[in-house]
Amino acid sequence: MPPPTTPVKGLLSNWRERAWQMLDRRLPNLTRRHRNERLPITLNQRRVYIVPSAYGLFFALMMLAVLGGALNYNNNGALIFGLLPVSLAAVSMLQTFRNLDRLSLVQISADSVHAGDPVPLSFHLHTEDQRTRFAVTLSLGGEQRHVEIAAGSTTLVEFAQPSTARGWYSPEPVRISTRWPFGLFYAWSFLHSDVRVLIYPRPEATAAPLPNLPDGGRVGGTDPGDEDLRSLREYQMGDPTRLVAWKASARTGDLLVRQLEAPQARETVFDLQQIRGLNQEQALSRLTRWVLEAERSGLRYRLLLPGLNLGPDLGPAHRLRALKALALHALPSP
Amino acid sequence: MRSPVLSPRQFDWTLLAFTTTLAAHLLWLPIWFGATLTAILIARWLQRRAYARAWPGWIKFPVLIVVLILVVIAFGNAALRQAGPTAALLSLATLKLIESERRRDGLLVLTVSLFLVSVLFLFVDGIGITLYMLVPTLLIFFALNEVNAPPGTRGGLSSELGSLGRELLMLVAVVLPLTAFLFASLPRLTAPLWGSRDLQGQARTGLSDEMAPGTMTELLADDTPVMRVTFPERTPPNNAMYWRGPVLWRFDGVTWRTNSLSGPGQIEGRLRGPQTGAPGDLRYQVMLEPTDRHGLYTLDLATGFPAQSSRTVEGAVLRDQPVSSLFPYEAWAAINTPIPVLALPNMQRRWGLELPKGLNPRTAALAQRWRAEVGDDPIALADRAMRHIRGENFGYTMSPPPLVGAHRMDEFLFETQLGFCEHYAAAFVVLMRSAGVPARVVTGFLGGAFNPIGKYHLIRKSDAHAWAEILVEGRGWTRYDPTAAIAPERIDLSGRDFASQATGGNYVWLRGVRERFDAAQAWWNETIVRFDRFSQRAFFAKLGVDADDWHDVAAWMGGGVLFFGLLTAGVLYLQRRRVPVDVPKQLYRSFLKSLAKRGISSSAQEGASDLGKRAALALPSLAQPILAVVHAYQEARYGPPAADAIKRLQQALDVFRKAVSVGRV
Repeated sequence: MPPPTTPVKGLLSNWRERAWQMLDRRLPNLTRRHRNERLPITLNQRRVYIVPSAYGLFFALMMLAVLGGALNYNNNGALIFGLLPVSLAAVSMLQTFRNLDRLSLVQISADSVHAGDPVPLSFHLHTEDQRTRFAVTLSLGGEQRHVEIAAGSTTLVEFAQPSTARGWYSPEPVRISTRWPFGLFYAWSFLHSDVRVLIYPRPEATAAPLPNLPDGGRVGGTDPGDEDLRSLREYQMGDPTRLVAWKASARTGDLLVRQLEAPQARETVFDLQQIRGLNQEQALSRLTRWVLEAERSGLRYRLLLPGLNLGPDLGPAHRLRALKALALHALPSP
Repeated sequence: MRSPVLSPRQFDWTLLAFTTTLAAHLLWLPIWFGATLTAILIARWLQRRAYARAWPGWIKFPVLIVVLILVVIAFGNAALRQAGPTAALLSLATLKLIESERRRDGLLVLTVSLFLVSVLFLFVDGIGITLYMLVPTLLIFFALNEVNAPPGTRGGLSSELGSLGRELLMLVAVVLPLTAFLFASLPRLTAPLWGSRDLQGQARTGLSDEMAPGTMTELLADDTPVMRVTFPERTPPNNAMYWRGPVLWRFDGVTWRTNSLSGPGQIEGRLRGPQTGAPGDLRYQVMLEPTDRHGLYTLDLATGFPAQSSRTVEGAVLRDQPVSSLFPYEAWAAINTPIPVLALPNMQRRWGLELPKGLNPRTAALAQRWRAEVGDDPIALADRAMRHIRGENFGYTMSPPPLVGAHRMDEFLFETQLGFCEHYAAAFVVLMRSAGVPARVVTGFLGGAFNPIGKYHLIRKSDAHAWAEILVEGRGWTRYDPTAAIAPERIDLSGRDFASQATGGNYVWLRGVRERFDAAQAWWNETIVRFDRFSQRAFFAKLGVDADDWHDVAAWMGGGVLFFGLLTAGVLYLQRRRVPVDVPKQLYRSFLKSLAKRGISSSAQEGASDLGKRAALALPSLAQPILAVVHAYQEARYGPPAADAIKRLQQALDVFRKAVSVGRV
């Protein structure tokens, strides 16, 4: 935490914090930005806020002038055309609100990346009803995306947010807003989901050689089509059903599919404690790099961290486990 | 942050909305002025189509200066307090468009357009223009919708016009009633807080204080309504409906003019209103369109007329204030009664005999010959003149050969012998004066078209007419209409009907449409344009609300707001019921039912993939179709939007059902 630079600034931030706390207590709906929620989040009248826009105030001023003039000169033609826009504006307040109402954030898909790479986030916005939502704006971290969500469909809004450190990353609350239809009112809401993304350590830039292979000989060596349990993995939606290993599935009670790549033979050990002369983050970076290289060259590897022993193994699942362990190593659990 | 550049679509909408607004103002702007603004807009449109850039300063500023000079030339007259600023605002909005590149500019132009829509009604009025103004108003809102759409999105209202059902429902069910409610309830002022309307704010053509060659022709071609008259008791025949306007005395050989007897300073012989006619007199009610003049058109002899007006010694009824807005009045007439000489008999006789010296010698000679023939009796002389016009080769035409010489009456009476009321009335008066009978020209309107829908007579400018009066001692000014001698049909029909008969155009259906439209116009004038503090009080009284008690008014307004809140909620409720079902979920439910029949029950907590795996294991023969259905369901429900996702789910479900039925057999 940075020390307060001047007393005034400290006082100010203190005051702001107190104001937020009070708002949190009194108007919990308004300050949803401070609370994480489970998806899907559906907007409703309790969480959409609406105020006249700056243009709306200018418009109101103009209409006041028209109505005042029309009443003064008792000119009913002018009065009608002062009141018609006023009525349209009044109804448009409702339309602005309804442009957000019953809009759902059903999913946030995010990919894990290495620290320093932008985190791709896609927000899946969905409308249940038959109203197309025009001109909806999402703001996240100073960036804006303007989208239209067709009736009864889901629209993806993509952002890329910078990632700084390894570990769990929670996206900032995204502000969803609209001025549709006439720009007279501004309606907004904050969507703060509990979605979090794992940020892997940044791989070391210069490649250190892989630690020595303990044994250069081949281990095992089987037919590629063999239904060894090692070459089976759990079924995931979208896998071709012809790959399902029915016998093995019936035996284990899990639906399993055959892996196409043949098992690999060589193996190595990555041990955090064997790395000298680097601080913890640098060491983790090196291990990350090694994991990636081992995967690329098809080398079975074992990852040793304090209190953790993974593998030896190879393949996407092992890789994910290893990277996750590296990402979360020695971090407080949230 | 700079506001975004207007896309071509946004710019075109802004331009269209402003242009339709400007188009309405062309009704009152001088033609050359409107043409200049239109030319600038067209140039801007063509240029913006080519490339999106504002006009450079060396074009913009000269154009600005030229246009402002035009405003000063057109409306420099200080009397036009509202026309000048309005024209300036129209010009500035046009010039704003030539430099409008960004959203801010577009919004400014659109808001000013909305202002200009209302301002138009300072200059024109009527149901037609009111209906037309709905177009610019809605276009302005469509344009606001487009211009406010952030880059990359659309406003949607215009592109979804076809499927705008629910938005349109909102408009018709809520916006229009709300407008009507506010219109009826907004408290009106009894007197303006500031300013007053321009008196000569627009050049309203109408009966003027002089009759020069051509003034009548202009009127006869003009369909604009002058007034609508209802006869509650009995309707006089059309040929007795002489609506009296200005009385013309002075003749210089070309033009007829009024004299001091018409002026407001002439108080001798005046009869102040309010007056009520004698029991047998003809009663009628008039709704007079604004004329910006003092005259109230009445039938002769006006025996009853409203307060704050008076009957002059000439028999015309003048209001103290000019008629600058729709003016209703009730009047009585003693039909076919000469105008009595109530004051200044010598002066009237002298004015009635005056002729320009040395002009029209042949006319004078003819009049002298008659005098020798029939004597001094004015009635005998007038009858002789009528007989002459009837007997000679005189013809009625709306487009007579022009009279160009110094002796125009001679030219008309002895050479061309073709003309209409203006010529005949003038020639008759000159003949009478030459014969020593005091005479004068009276202008006004003749007849009126009965509207069977509104049960009133409509008098248009095309019904303008001129006739003559001669002074008969002991009786007063007696009407003679020489046009009746030559074209009696003109006297029995309204001017318009007569003209259409003459040109052979006799479209009955068109006439029906016109009558309907005019009845609507009359209704509009009565109920909307004339709606003021007093009508409002009457309207409130009908509803049991005391307009002078602010508690009552506040309760009424509050009730109205509540009502419209509920109405809106009702419309929303109607719209919400139309929410469609979640199709993938519905299909998935039927799939779950089929599975339950095969002994695989599911719980609400179990996700689709887990269930799919479990079912595939339990029913290996159906595994493939089951997994296909689950996969398609997840794609349709949570995957990226794809039009055929639901179709694929449907197909997978069909395959599954087929497999189930095959398995059973």
